[in-house]
Amino acid sequence: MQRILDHPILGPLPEEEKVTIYVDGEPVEARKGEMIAAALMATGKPYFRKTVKRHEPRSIFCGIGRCTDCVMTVNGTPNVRTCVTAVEEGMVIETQMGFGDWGGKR
Amino acid sequence: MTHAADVLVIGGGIIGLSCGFYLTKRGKRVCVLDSGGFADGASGACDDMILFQSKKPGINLELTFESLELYKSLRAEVDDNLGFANLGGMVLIENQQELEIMEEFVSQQRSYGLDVEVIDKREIHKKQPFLSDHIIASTYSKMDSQIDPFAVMRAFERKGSSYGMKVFRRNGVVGIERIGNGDYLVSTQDGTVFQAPIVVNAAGTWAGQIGEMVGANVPITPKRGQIIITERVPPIGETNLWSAKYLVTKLRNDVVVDLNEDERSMGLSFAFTRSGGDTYLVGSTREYVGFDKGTTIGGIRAIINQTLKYLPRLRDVNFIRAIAGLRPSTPDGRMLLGEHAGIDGFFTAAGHEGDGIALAPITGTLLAAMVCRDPGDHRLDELSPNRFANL
Repeated sequence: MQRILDHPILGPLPEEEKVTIYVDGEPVEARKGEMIAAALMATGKPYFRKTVKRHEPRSIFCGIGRCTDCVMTVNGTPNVRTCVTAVEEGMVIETQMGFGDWGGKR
Repeated sequence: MTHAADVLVIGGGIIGLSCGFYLTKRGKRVCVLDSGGFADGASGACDDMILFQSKKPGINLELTFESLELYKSLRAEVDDNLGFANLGGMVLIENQQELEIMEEFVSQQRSYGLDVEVIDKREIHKKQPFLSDHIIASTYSKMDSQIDPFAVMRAFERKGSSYGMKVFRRNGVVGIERIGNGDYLVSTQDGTVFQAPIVVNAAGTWAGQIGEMVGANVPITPKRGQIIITERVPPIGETNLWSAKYLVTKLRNDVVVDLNEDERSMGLSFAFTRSGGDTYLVGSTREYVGFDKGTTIGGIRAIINQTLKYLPRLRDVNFIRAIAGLRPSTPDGRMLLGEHAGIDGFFTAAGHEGDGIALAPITGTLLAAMVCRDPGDHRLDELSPNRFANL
């Protein structure tokens, strides 16, 4: 668990409604309104994707939606920037291998 | 300063470089002259198709077969795949009227030796699971191939230069004059003069302006094609895609296709091809706007909206770039290839519109044969620039 529950300046983390997201098939509890990347970091997920050519693990780099290092397949759409995409109830999130795939859904 | 050569090729796009390459291989000393940089014109702002399905049975289809073979030997000669791929292509049919027209077109193409068929919804779904349900049928040809235009141009230029071809860039032709012994003097912006008994006008969209310098009528009109390029994404289907709309309007001018007024004025139709860089090139417009090769918000928006109609799943995909090229179009949809009557030694090889990549090697090969005075090939009479001489 990498969530800061009591921040030295911002103080204790306020209560927030919970939503359930599914990460590689496993249900994960996330705080409503937070970004996917924040929820995944809180679970300690070691990497979000693996690169196309060398299959190297990648996770958060810039954290502000520019670098595209944190992209994952979300609800069947590859290349979604998880650091700027908020969680939603029932969201299906998959670790993206290379380019990922279209998840078989229309 | 004056450069002497056997042949001067004006235009350093894929057609000019092909002409230069094959002429050099035939033992000619060739100078290729271009006003811009490498791939500045239409050859650098187009898709990469060797597309059979768009060709009317006849000379264009025949030459495409020959071009594909020449691309094979070129790849062997330069020991490089040149981004060649063979994904096959589908032309999407949206209503009964289109189906009838395309069925007839396909049977004509088949009788000409093209491996193409009409497939039903079940077959479509296997090849393209994400296509919109409103597509009622499709054509499929496994022959449709592609090759990277930049790689081809680099190959022509490098290999040609190793055989002695010279390429001069960023130095436009400003005048052509004929002297007493029949040679042409071609003067350029920086004052350099080139002299040769043969001039080849391969200036693409700008070939009309070069033709004017010697009094040759080269009726080529720029047709602007805008294309957007997506981010790198996984393949969304097996094949490349086109809409039947464009072909149908080309084949039957009495048919009104389902487009709104804006889309119609832009000449919008769907072309969806996967590039070697794992992106998709998505087009395109066909606009008559003179020599303006800018992209427009309206054009980009129309291409995006059209794409989502066919492939709704691409909704969240980013596009990273938009480009536009000026396709050199002719009044009858066929290129100009040959010597101008009454202007000995002045040849034109231009006017390929959207077929420049597909037809580049065969154009250069045929042009070189004409310049070398090989026995005439009567199939090519219908491509002669003299069909426009008296217009």
